[in-house]
Formats: sequence, C-alpha cells, structure tokens
Amino acid sequence: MGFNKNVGTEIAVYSFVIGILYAIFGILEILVGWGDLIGTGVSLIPPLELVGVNVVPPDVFGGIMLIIIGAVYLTGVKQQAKGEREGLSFLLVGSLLAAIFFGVYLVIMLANGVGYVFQFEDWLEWIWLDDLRPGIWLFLMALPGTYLAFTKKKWRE
Amino acid sequence: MKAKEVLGDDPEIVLADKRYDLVSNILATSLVKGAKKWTITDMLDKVFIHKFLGIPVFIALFWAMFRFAYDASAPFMEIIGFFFESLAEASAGIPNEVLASLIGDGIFGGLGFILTFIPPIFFLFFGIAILEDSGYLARAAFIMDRIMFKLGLHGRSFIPMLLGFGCNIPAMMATRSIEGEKDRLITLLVNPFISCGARLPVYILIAGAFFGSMATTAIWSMYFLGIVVAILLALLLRKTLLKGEPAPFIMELPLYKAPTFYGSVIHMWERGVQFLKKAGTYLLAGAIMLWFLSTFPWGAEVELSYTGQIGQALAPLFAPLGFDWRIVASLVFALLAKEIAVEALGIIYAVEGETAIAGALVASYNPVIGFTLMAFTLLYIPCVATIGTMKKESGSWKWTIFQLVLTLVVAYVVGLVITGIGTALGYA
Repeated sequence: MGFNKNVGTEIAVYSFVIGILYAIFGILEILVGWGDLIGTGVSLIPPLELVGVNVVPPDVFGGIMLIIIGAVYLTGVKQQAKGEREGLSFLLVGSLLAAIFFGVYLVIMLANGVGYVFQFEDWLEWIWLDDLRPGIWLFLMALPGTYLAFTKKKWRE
Repeated sequence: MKAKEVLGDDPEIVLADKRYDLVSNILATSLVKGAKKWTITDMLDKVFIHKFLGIPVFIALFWAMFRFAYDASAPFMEIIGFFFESLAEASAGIPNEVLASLIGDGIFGGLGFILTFIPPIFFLFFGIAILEDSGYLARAAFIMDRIMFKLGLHGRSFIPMLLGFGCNIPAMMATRSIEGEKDRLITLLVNPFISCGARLPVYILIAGAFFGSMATTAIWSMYFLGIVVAILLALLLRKTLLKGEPAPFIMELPLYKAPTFYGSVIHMWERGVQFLKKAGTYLLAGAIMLWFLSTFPWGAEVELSYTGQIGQALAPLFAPLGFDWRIVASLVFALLAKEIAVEALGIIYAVEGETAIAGALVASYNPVIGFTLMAFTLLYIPCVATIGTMKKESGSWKWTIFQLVLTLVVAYVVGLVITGIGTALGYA
C-alpha cells in the first residue's frame, strides 16, 4: 500500500508526539542548565529526579540540539497529514538525527565505563545512570518511525 | 567581459541554461512521465538543504561530532597520559641531571603530553570522514553557498574552508580550483581562520580546565567563530580591497551512501597520521628546543630562562588581553606548529599530565583569559608553513605579509572584545 491520507494521518500524529517530546525535553535541559551557562549555578527549575537520578541533565546546548531534532519532526507533520509523501522526509531525517545523537551518547557512556573500570580520578563516582540522558531513551520511542521510514519502500513510490 | 554584457549574464551560465532548455524541449515531446520514485537521496535532501532547517541541522551534526571527539576520547587520553607520566617519573632515576631533565621534562613531559591528544584528534577526523563519506559535507557546502552568495562571496570558497578543518595547507592549495583571481585571493586570505586539527589540543586543554561540562560547547564555538570571522572578513575584503562580483558556483551533489566503518577508519588514518608524523619530527624538535630554552641558563628559575626572557619582553603588548609571559612565550613558539603551545605550557609549568597542567592554569588565570586564549590561538597565523604556502599560492610577498598582519590584528581585536564582554558580564 502506498502512502495515503489514512497512513499519513497516523504518521503525522506519531511525528507530532515524538517532535513535541524532543522539544519539551530540550527546553527542560536548557532550563536546568541555564545557571551553569551564566555562572550562577542556579537552575531555572528544580532538578528533575527519578529514583535519585537526574532525568534531565543541565545542558543548554544539548537541549538546543534536542529542540532542532523536535523541529525537524514537527515541520513534516502538515504534509504527512495531507498524505503527501514529501512529509516522510522529515520523519526520516528526524529519526536519523535522533539515531546519531543516540549513538554519540551511547559511545560516551561506554567510554565513561572505560574510565570507571580503570578507576581514573574523574570517574571514581561515575554510575551509568548519570549518562542515561533523554537523547538516549527518546530515541527508543523514535525507533518504530525510523524503522518505517527506512523500510517502507512502497511509501516512496 | 563583452560576452557577459551582450548576454546579460555569465556566458557559462547562459550556455548551461540553453543546454537544459534544449534537453527539456526534447524530453517534453518524446517522454511520457510516470510518477517519479522518491529516493532516499531526495528525502534526505528535502531536509538537509531545507531553506530554514538546513543550517540548524548542520549545526546539530557538527555539535554531535565535537561531543563525540571530546567526551568519548577523555578516558583514552587519561590512559596515554598515565603512560607518559610513569615514564617521566622513571626517568628521574637517570644519574646525569641534565639528561634526566631532557628526557623527563622535555621529551616525556612535553612531547608525551601532546601525544595524549591523539584520541580526540583521531575521533574528530573519524567524525569528519563519516560526514564526508556519506555525502553530507557536499550539502554543507551547498547550504553555506546560499549564505555566502547573498553576501557577495564565492560558494566554491567553502570547500577549501571545509578542508581547513583538517589542515590549512592543503586547504589553501585547494583554492587553485577557484577561477576568479580575486575570489581565489579572498579565499586564501581567510582560510587560516578555519580551525585546523592542530588547534584542537589547545582548545581541549583550556576548555577542559575552565569550562567543565560546557567544554564541548566552548570547543565547538571556536570552530563556529572561525567560520563566522572568515565569512565576515571575506565580505569586508570583497567590499574594500578586492571589489567585484563573485563567479557563479555550479556544483553536482553526490548521492548519499551509508559510510562503512572500514572506509571511515582509513580516511581518519590518512588525516591522523599527519599528526603522528609531525609528532615524530616538528613536535619532538620543538619539545627539545623548548626544554633547552626553558632550562638554560642551567639552574635558573623558568622566569629567568631564555623562554622567560622572550615571554617577558613581549608580555606588555598582550597585557590588555590578560596574557602573562607564560602564555605569550607559548604563543610565540606555537608559530612553529599550534600544538607546541600545549607542549610549551607543560614545560613552562614543569608539571606532567593534563590534570596537573589544567590545575596550574586555573590557579593562574580566569575563564575569560582562557576563552580569549582559545580565540587568539584560533585566529592568529596557524604556523610558519602556512606563511610559506601563502607566498607560494599568491606569488606575492605583499599579500603574504598582509595576511600575517591581518591574522594578528584580528586575533588581538577579537581577544579585546571577548575580554571586554567577559569582564562586563562578571566572568573575570
């Protein structure tokens, strides 16, 4: 089945949800990290913790990158809802960017693991949950879209 | 010139337009079109060269690359640093005091320290290789061309600029592909502002010392600053000394392809091995020379050594930037190769390892001076080899000296601006 309005509407809803999630967590990273950027060390919102682990790292520029990924997803929503196959481009590139950031953060987590194994000074208190950032787990939500964008060749005909 | 006046546009463009018109007319009468298959390349280009998303996506991809190069390489830097620190400690047992100092402080302390930067340099080149092999870098040139042409600059200039991320010398040689003499000269003049791999160790040391979790962003901002300064200066030159219209830029975009791990590793190695060769020659010689100048007259404090004397003689010139004689001396020696600045700081402070040198820097300077030093390192002439390349490529001592003065003046002025803003914001 080719790409049509019915499929397009479902993809549009999916892209909208993923795009909004990336944008929200991007904004949260900025708000939490703002204090570090301007040197006060005081974040604009309290740290968001789950079982004692920071869910949102203080990272202003990392947050901007998440917003860019969210913007790519959201830009395609209108065309997808109309059933225009061009809208799939935004799902594909959004997923690709999400995958690149997922890969980079995962490699950093593994590299930090190497530092911990060798017990270097900067890694003595490192735990892997510290590196479990939104860029990693948001990609797991984006995974179905990535799979569809790359494999549904009929949608591109 | 006459053909251009008659045709109202560049003859090559008119010829290309006519050729495409002819092809279109023939196809219109002989081909029945079906729906065009929407390929992966079409889909990717829809976003990568998108009017509004193209630049943010470019920024995001480069930021991811620096994050990978800096953060993922940190533990491997520690491993190499630990190795050389152990060797330096072991060399203290050599009975001859001068030889022990040469091997411990000069070779293992100086050259060994610079070798700890092998992981981020290779990781950065790996990232660039992936972007290049995938076909994305050609799109980066395309989206930058859009901006550059609006500013009255030649789009082809951006390709040598991209090459400059590796090394400015082949990048300056690559300007031979630019046809217009003025376009080529502008590109040659601004190419040294593009941050080559040799500056990376300086950024990593300073950013790691002063900016903590913001280190990646501080490093990335230097690459961005280099591009912005290059474009603004090119614009200034176009409007003043090298007036004229840029020649049109026609570029065929290659199809995207998935980069292979093996292929990217090969490309990383081809670039990275240049650093290893430099380490075995220039940087080793630089480390020995620096050790000699910083240790003699034998037994004197480093402030009274030859290095100290050179640094102190020039320090008043750089006082407005907050640079003391140590920084000034390291910048002078870095004219041989930018990595030598890092070697020099290691030898001058006479401490081993990135953590110890970073600690010494934090104790001596503030973040504004750190950021100013990064920007100054970025903007003043990359190395003596680039001066030779400029002379060879421009065929003119006048333009070579102009470039030398231009880079120093720009570095100084930008340094003053950063110092002023940083101080006003209270970061000093």
